[in-house]
Amino acid sequence: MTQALVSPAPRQVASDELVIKCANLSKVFKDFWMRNRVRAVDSINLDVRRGEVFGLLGPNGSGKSTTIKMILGLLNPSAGRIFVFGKRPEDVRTKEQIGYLPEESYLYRFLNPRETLEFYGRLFYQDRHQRKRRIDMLLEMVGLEGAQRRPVGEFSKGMQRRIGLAQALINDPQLLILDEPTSGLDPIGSKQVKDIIVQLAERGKTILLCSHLLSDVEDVCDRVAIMFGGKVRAYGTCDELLVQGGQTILQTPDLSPEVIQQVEMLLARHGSHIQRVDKPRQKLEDLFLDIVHKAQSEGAATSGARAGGKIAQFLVDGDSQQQAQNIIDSLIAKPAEPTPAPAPAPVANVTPSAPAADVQVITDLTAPKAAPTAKPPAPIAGPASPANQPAVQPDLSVLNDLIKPSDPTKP
Amino acid sequence: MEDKKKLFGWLAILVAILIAGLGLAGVLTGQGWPKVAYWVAALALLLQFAWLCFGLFAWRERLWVRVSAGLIVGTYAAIALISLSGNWTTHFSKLQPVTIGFMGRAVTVPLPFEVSFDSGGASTAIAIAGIWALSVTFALGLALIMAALTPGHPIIAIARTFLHEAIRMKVAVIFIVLLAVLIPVLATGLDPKERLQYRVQFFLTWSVGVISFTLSLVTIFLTCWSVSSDIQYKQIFMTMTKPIGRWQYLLGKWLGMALLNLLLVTVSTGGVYAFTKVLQHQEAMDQLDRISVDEQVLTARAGTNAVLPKGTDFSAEFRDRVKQLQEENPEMYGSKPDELPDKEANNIKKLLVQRWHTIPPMSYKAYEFNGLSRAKKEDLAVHIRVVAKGNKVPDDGVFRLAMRANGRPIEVPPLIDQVPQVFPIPAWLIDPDGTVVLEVYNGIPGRPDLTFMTDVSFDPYSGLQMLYKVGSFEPNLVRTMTIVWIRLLFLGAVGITAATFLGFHVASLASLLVFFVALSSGFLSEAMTYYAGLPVNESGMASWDLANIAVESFVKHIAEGKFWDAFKLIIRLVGTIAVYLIPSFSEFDGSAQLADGLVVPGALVQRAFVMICGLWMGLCGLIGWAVFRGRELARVIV
Repeated sequence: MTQALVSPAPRQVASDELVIKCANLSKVFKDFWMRNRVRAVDSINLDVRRGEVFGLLGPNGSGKSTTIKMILGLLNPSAGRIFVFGKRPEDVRTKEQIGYLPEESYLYRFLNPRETLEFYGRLFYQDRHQRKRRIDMLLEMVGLEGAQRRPVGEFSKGMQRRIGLAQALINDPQLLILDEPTSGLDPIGSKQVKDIIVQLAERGKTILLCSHLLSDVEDVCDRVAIMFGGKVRAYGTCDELLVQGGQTILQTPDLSPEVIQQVEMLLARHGSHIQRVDKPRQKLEDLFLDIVHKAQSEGAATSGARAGGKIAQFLVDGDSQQQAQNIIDSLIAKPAEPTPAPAPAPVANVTPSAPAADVQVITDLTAPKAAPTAKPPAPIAGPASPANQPAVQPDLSVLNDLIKPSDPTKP
Repeated sequence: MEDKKKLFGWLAILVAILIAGLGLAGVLTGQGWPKVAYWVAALALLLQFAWLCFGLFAWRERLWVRVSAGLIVGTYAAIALISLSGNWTTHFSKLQPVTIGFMGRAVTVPLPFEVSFDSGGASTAIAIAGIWALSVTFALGLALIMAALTPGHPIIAIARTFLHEAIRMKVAVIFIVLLAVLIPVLATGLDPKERLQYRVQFFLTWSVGVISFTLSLVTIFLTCWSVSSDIQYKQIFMTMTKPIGRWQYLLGKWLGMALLNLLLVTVSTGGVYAFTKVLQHQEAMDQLDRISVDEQVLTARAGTNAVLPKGTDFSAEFRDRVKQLQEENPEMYGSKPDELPDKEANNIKKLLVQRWHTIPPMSYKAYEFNGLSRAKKEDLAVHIRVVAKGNKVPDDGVFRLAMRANGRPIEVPPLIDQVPQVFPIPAWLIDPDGTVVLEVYNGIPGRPDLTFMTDVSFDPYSGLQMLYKVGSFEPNLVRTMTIVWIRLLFLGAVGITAATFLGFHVASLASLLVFFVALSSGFLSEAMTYYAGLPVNESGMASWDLANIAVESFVKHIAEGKFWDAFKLIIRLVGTIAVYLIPSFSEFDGSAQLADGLVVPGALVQRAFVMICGLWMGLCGLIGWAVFRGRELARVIV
């Protein structure tokens, strides 16, 4: 009955096995004369567990990318230790299970998408047959099969991003490290990236997401760490950090003023009252996606990227037989299909102010069947996912800081 | 799938047009209507050409289509240019019936070489055909290498991408085109009034030199660019976060460079060979010129130097000289024969050997040559090679010498001062044990009035040699070019190593510096001997002593305030270290021997391989690896 109000069943996340462990990790950049110049990362501790989507948040220059580069062995820590799959990052074998998308796609301009992916496939010792199969799927997934013979140098940033994403997935990684994955992508692309992240996480892959786009992180992450000035300022599950106690949101089909009045009376009996009554607007993202899908279904031509296809098969079934296809298809929503025309059933947002409303009230209110929504709203009833971490009292002032990008050089 | 079907359909139609047109034209020719046949063939040609263009346009996004389009367009252009240069119709019409020739050329690979070989006048046609042939060979060779680099392995992936980069980076292509143009032009642009022997020698020397130099630059720029741009433009972030070791990355770059150079050296070797043959078949000035080309240039001969004839003894002269010196200056040379410093003893020996190779006017000396038994047995051509040098030079610049080999007079051409002169002696003159005693007389026997009064001397090592054929031109050329390739492998390693810690500009400058020091190492070390006022290190002085002297004079200069002189010592130190550290390319160079028709010994190739590839390159690779493995790739150094 209350299914519309809670987030989708939490993933079976997080064995206690650690995929990444950073202990007292610091990075100091020195200048030519070996004087300390920038303390980019300052004694941070991070644990990423197998199967979770971990978000690393922070404004520009907060040390996110430096941390990621140390995890990948592109930088050496000044102090502290890192273990990736229990090994040091310099160990080449750890890389077999890692997919990495840097903050920009640093591609060879003279190769075309297929050659680019061939190159990365070879780095993973993939034979010709395996490469072809995976590259075909990945190109379809990121919607570039029509542009696969053009040199990458001609591509827009978003199209390059898509190849970057494809190369990060070519080895069916157990750990996916994404640095600003949606930057430069159009809304279709970024929605697709988010869908892929969710789907891969459902398949038990571990994802480390680094971003300063808060909505990206909020949509997909299980746990987040918020960095500022090289330090982790807040650390915990999204729910721990975000749920505002003391308020409840109800979402119902359109209600007449009389019903609202009754609700108000009912609430008054329980010593509470309605703070706000609203009609939800369609999100601009949904409107945009709808227009593009419509144009595509009418066969409008584009020289750019098309909306991506479904997620590459080898990522979900480990590159084995096609037989599992049906099962998988039933498990995976197809992002390529147009989302149902929005024209949402009239819904009213009712925000009672009473602390912790009686369950009986909710049952009364939700008598008419709630319409399913595409995006889950913020969960209502306390932390929905099990708290694996001792609850941390988040310093929410940091969030306010984050919204205004601050000067990275002044921690 | 559908794409493939379309492609096969297109190919089928192309072949159908070809067969139908060709068949019909053949039938019509057979029926005695050659004119009609001509027009039918022409029509089929046009149709086929249009269809070809259509296909190339339809599949233009595919690499192989672009490559074949390039080849076909190039081929058409070559034919057009050749036909413009005049000789085409006459030659082709001799070879084939007009119609079939027309069709054959238009559709498949034409053979421009058919047009060319027989005439010196068609040099433009030859050059164009050569450019065409070199380009096609290069394209095909590249396709072959790419096909070989299919397996999934990190080293192969890096090597393959290096090749892609080399081909698609325009700078490299410009050098390669330059090469493809220069070789044919060098061969065909020579003055036809010059003696053929000199033309062939000139071509060999210059083409090998130009190839070696051009490819060295290509190698340095490419390797430096490839590694440093990977770091600068951060492609290396995405590469090194895959399961690839740092050494594998470097080795992959080196492998790509090695394969590219193998291809380029092979293609240019083919070019040099083909054009040498073209030159060889041109008209010689006279019979002697022809023989010179065939037996003195396009061959591989070994040389043997003179040994002291039996019974000759320098020891008496040596003792006399020592005695004389010691009497003149006992402080410097000691007073007993065994007190003479090694250095002075060496000087005296050198002097005596040189004196033995100097012939005063109107007198003669005898030189013995050994090891010619094979030449005697197989009746091979044996030549004497003389580089004569006079104290004074006659007005016409020509010395006249007379010679007897094993007691029989042989014909000696006039000898130009310091110019190598080669002339034959009959093999039957050689003793059965392979010995020839050569008596050389300075002047014209019995005609002192015609003799120019000057000492004539020869360099003890290369001034007077007996040459005999031990191999042929082709393997000699291959060995020479192998050495060129080995040198390129080293330069590639230098470029890669430099770029592991330097940006593109600095890395390529540093590599160029290494290249030029390697080229001029012999000259540099000689120049260094006389620099900064240290005593000249003749043999016999330990370099340790020299170092001591250098330190002493450095301290002295500083004490006296002569800072510039002190600084010169530092320059000399740096220069000396550079000369020691960088292999000398002049030691590993076969081009002079090649042009002189001397054998480039297999041992030299082996030595080049061991020294340059093994020692120097190994050292360089180790440095590169040591730097690169610890480098923080994401670290931006401003």
